Amino acid sequence: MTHCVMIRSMISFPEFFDFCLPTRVVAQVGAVSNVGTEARALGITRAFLLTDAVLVKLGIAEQVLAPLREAGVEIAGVFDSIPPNSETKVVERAAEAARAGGADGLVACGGGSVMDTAKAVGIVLSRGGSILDHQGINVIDRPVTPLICLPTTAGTGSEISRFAVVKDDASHQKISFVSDHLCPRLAILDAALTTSMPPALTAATGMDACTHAVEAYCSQGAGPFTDALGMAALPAIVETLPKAVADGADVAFRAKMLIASAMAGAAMSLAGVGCVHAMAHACGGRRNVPHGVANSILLPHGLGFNAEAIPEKASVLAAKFGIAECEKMSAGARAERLVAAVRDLSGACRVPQRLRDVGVVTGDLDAIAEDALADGAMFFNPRPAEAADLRKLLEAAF
Amino acid sequence: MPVYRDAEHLYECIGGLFDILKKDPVVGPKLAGAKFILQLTYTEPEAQITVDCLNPPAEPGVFVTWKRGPSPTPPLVELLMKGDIAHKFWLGRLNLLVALTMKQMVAKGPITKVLSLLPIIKPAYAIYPQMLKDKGYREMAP
Ligand SMILES: [Fe+2]
Repeated sequence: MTHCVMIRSMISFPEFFDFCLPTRVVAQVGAVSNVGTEARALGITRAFLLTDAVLVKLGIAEQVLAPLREAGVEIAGVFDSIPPNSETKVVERAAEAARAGGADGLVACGGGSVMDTAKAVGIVLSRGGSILDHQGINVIDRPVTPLICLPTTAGTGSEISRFAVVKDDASHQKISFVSDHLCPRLAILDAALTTSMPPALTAATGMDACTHAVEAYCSQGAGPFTDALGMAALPAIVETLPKAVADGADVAFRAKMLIASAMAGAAMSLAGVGCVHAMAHACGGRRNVPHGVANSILLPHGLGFNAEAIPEKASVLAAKFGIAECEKMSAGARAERLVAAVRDLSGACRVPQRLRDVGVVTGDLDAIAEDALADGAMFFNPRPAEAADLRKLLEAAF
Repeated sequence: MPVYRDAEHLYECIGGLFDILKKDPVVGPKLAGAKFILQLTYTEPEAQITVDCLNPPAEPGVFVTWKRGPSPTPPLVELLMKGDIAHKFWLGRLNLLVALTMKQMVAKGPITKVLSLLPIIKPAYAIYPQMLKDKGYREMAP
């Protein structure tokens, strides 16, 4: 009972919040077979599929195309040349192909990079010009080409979020798009599409989902709805991720991860994230460290830093990580246990534990700290931080 | 009734602020270090200010320049808002998170560049109300 009261009182009730979840979510093993009917219901008559070469090879792309055809939706084209960190030139090429095929709707089947590319393609298709013309916050002020997402990883949350990020191949900078109109019209969560994901990718993307749940809850942009989503997702992720990594063929583990990841993604989309994501983005920009891996390495450090500013929220997080009787501990002891629990989770999932193990060198740390400080995610961090603070966290994670 | 009664009034106040900032020994060099052109586009009243933090001015003691109207070369960043929102911002009383969520502000261009300006211009939150008082607009800076 005490525990219950504590949790209830830890939901944020800020003076202001804004909640809108424009994406319809459908979850069922085998739901991909309904994508054609769903596309038609959205008024799509010519669908353009964005995916990657591996998923084509595995036959997953065909699992999407067949029901589209069956429902009488014409295939405007298939674009499968999307790299793990998509670029503006990929977006422009895919948009050209979609336009040439007369597409009036987009279907994305893949991980975060595929889905973000599809969002960017939708911008170019509906608004014209170069993709670079549309970067920013609230620049996209009208609906874009309808998009259906079928995530094949459980972590990015792109299937439900209002963000898209791609790399500008000229400047090598990540460029961001933020608008409610970038929320896909439909997310089909079909766990069967994720069973072929290898353990390392399952672990990294799952730790990304974990970081979304944690950082959204700690964010300055947190509100009651996002807290509810993130804090419902977190224990599911903590409990299920190691099992999904160990036994990837078990569709029940996969389904739980996929749903929890979308919930954490919704929280992240609306509440924002924080210093862990800021540093992870910077590691990705400088050394191509995979997003989930960087988040996983940095989460205990960022959380340890922030816990001091949000002791009550840290206490709720500790409970969600399964730390017994955490309410009886001192704030310091609780933060320590929490950090250890995050490390235990990533350790159990066999994610690399140090930045030095993933290609970062000591000479990078100053630049990564500077990049991270200018990252949009810092805007939401619950504790003010200077470059020197981030440098210290990066050093500890090194 | 908008806080700036017309474009001329907006230029007098926000332009006046940039006249101070461009020579400010703390803010000026940092703005110059940003190295990009910023365009501020206002409605109610309609006005436009271009702040050039890219091309170093010839005038000694001046770190950046500003002018009325659009940028002659495409700006890297454009911020669009109503005059009232801008006024609240320079008073340091605008919650940016709320303003962006409520779509009271549009930030066009690289988000990191926009955010990198925030710590730089912090001193302006004290300079602006003082400047308004000096100009006799005490009611605008309560
Ligand atoms: Fe993420």
